[in-house]
Amino acid sequence: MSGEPARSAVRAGVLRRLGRKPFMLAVLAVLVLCGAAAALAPLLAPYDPYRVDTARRLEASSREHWLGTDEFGRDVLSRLLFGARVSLAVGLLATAIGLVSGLVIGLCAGYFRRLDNVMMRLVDVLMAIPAVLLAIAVVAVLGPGLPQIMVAVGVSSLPGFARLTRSVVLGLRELEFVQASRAAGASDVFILLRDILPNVLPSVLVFGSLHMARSLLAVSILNFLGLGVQPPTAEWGAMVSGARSYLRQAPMLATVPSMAIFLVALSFNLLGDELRDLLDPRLRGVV
Amino acid sequence: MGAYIVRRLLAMIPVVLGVMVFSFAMLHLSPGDPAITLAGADAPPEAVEAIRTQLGLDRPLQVQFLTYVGQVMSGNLGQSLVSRKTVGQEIVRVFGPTLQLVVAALTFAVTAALMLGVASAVWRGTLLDRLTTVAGVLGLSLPIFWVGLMLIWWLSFQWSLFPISGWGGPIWTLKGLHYTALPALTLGATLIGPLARMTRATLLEVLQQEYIRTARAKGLGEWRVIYLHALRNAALPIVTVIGLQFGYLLGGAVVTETIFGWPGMGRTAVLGILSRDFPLVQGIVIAMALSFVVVNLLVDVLYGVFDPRIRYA
Repeated sequence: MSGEPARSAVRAGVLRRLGRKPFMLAVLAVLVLCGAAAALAPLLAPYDPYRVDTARRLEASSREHWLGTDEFGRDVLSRLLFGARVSLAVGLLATAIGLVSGLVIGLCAGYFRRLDNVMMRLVDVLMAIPAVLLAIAVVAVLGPGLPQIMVAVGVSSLPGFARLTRSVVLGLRELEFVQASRAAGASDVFILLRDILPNVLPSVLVFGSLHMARSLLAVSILNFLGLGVQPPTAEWGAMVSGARSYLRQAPMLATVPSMAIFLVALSFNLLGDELRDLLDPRLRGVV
Repeated sequence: MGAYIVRRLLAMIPVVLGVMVFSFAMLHLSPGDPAITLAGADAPPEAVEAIRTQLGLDRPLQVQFLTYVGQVMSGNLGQSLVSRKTVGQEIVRVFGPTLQLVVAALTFAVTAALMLGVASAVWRGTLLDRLTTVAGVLGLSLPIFWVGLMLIWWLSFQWSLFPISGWGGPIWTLKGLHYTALPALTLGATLIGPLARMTRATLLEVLQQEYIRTARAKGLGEWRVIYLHALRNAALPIVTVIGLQFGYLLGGAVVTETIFGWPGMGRTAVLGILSRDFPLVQGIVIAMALSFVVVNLLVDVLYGVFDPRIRYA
């Protein structure tokens, strides 16, 4: 029907409007560049991120080592590039876990009234457990590791996605086009996937991009605490953790990966704010 | 007010039950025999058997759960595998420092955020207002461990103003205050941004109200209007933000305690994980989750104080 072209027109409009703001273009460019740098790390990195050179420990920035060397004489730039792969991928996957599971729960709770109460009470309980606490519990059970913290961060972001989805679905399910579908004999699954899902997605994706910043920060915190990747794996939070003992001599060593986290988190926050205003101004104050 | 608090207390029951299920599940989802997990891998068989009978681990799951809840309710959380003290004693030891850190951080953050938020609402559109907004967005994206490390580098290493790490005693002693300053600053800094933004937004909204015009019309000074009339009505959203952010605050406390060698719940939990001290970590998870529940109860009670309509709803 006419839903398809109308939706892509909205999407094109959003891109065009984003494109009209030079500042947002810069934000998008930062994110694309970070993604590309992570993807191309093996090609871009000047050195092997794990090559130890004890003769050149804690060096300042130089022509050979643009960002200096770390406590084992490893090249910081190379570790930053390889670390980006872990940090960004884990942040993205954690958000995806929260988004997809929250979306499914929210769709069901909002659409099937009988499930609503039970599902949302379970979500409430989950909400009572802060992200880092959940991660500590998961890691206490399964031991430190990346999949563990990924699941923990993802699950702790689930309630937000579920609540948001449910509230949008509740508004949609009584609208005429949904009623019309039902009268025409469409199945519940069909209605959920074809009528409701496309209208829920914009809000959920906006929330997702705002949430990327939070996930990235949570993942780097857990890695900083030593609950995720183990040495010598390059990851931004873990790099700061390693640099901690050399803070007095080399404060830059902790600052470089921190600034990388900051830059990406800031970009996602700014992008999310902007998308929210463009796609769904009603969400201002909610997410 | 009393009936309202009782209602809120009753509403806590499912959440507390949820926390119990959660920590019970922690034990049973961990690979291997729960009795060995609790007694430690190198415990003698008698100790393992003692725990098995105490928790009724050979009985049906629902009986086990009730036994477990009974044990937790009576304060029996098992024994730390490392220190060999009871988990209850350990929690009593580490709870105070965390409470002190969180309260000091909140005090600092709320004071700073109220000043910044009120100033940027009153002098709207000025440089100060814009700087506050920008700083709020920047602060939201800054990793907390970097804030802590830079404060140490700058104020402890460069200027030797504050101790690098450790516990100096209760905050009302000079030494305690000295040791608490940097950790509280670190933990509080992350809260200032969102709090100041919320203060500014609600204050701007409240200042549009009719009763503010009335207060001004009867000749009250502008600062009296703001502090006596506007801020009291802006308090509700601000308290909401504090309640919502408390989870992040607990997470931030884990990092802050680790950086500053602060003997609180967060650092103890991380050390517990790294030394595979399962009973200790489980106990701290319960204690932290319960304190989260209690804070939300306090937030609810404060709602009733600030907005009497809520009490009777």
